[in-house]
Amino acid sequence: MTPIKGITEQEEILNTLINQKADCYKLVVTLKMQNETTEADEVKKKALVLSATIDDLLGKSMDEWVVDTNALLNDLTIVNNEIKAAIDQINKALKTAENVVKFLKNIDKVIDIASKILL
Amino acid sequence: MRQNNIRMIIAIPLAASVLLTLLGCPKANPKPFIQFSESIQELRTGADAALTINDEENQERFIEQTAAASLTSEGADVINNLMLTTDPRDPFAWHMEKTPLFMKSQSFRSGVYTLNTALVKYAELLKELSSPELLSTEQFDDLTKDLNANLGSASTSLGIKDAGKELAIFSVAATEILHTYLEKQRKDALLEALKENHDNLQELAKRMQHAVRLATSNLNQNYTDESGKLIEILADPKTKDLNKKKDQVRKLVEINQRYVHRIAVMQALHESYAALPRVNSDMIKLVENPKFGASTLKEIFENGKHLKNLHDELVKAEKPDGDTKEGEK
Repeated sequence: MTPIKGITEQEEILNTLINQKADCYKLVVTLKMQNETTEADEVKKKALVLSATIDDLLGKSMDEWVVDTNALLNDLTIVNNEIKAAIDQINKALKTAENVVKFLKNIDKVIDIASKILL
Repeated sequence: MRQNNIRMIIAIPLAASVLLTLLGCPKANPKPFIQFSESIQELRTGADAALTINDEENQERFIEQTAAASLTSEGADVINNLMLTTDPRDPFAWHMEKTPLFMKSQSFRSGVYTLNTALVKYAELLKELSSPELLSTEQFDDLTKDLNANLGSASTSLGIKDAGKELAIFSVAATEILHTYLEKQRKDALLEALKENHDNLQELAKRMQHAVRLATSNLNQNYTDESGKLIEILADPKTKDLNKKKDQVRKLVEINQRYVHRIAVMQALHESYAALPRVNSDMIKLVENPKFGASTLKEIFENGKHLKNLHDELVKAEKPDGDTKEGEK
């Protein structure tokens, strides 16, 4: 089977351990069906030890993922802030245009008053 | 003299307007960005739902294993681990000798959610930047109207006759220039954001695929323990009751169906994250050339919808009538 792109060695070990644990459970069934209960119990113990090891490795991989992702999260936050700034700049330009119109409106009023005095 | 000045004022913006129009600045099409934003939200929901189920199963497994270990002679460490300790110098700090997987997977889920939220935010900002509401035609029409009214009344007050028409052209040109200029600024900002973030998105896609694979391994770990326990019960030679055996087989079939469904959700998540850098590249091409047919956008949108369906079915299967399947645990 072709390995999935990007899979790490640690993941492969983890998945191999899970498969081995599944094999242990299957062996427990086979031994039980043959009334080999002592051997079945021994294999089951191995399966439980494997399960605990897998949990440890999973926990370690998850911890590492969280730590490794912090820098990326910071970079993304920076880009998001930059896009927000671009939007704010456009909004600011629009606000400025509106303010210019308001300013002209005020000038207009002054001219109106002045022209009445001049007349 | 005043008339000449006015003509100058009109001529400059008109020329600039023609120049900007010739340069060409088609509006950014917001639809792909809306679809992108919706799909990313589906990704976040799907990923969180899948990881929540893992957390619940991890916790249940921990309870079961700890209870079982407490019955053995080597159970002291496992029992003692249940008591948290504090730091004498920091009353807010707590400590557990060996942090169980369910606690680690909860913090992992929170990390995945945070990164997904940054991605959702990115998609929403792109949507906002491409939205016609940011530079609405009505806004510029109002601006032109206001400008016309002001300049018209001012020229009348100053006794300039017949200037109204020319001044109106001036105000239309001025607002059109502003509109075109801001439209270009918006397009440039969109392109810059998409290009600047491309490497980040490639890295994010890799990290998220890694997270999905880890969550799938976690799913496989929980499944093999659950299934292993049940096949062992089924294999018990002491049980001779055929109906009991049938019930046990039925339960195993149900667990398998649920597992296969959850694997499909994980695969859809993995593929969707893998598509992210391609989608970003296509959005760049789309902003540069609005006629560009971006097939990946359709792909991620379809993936998002597919994921939503899978997720809805999963929620239904996991929680019939709003309850968890306690009987199976």
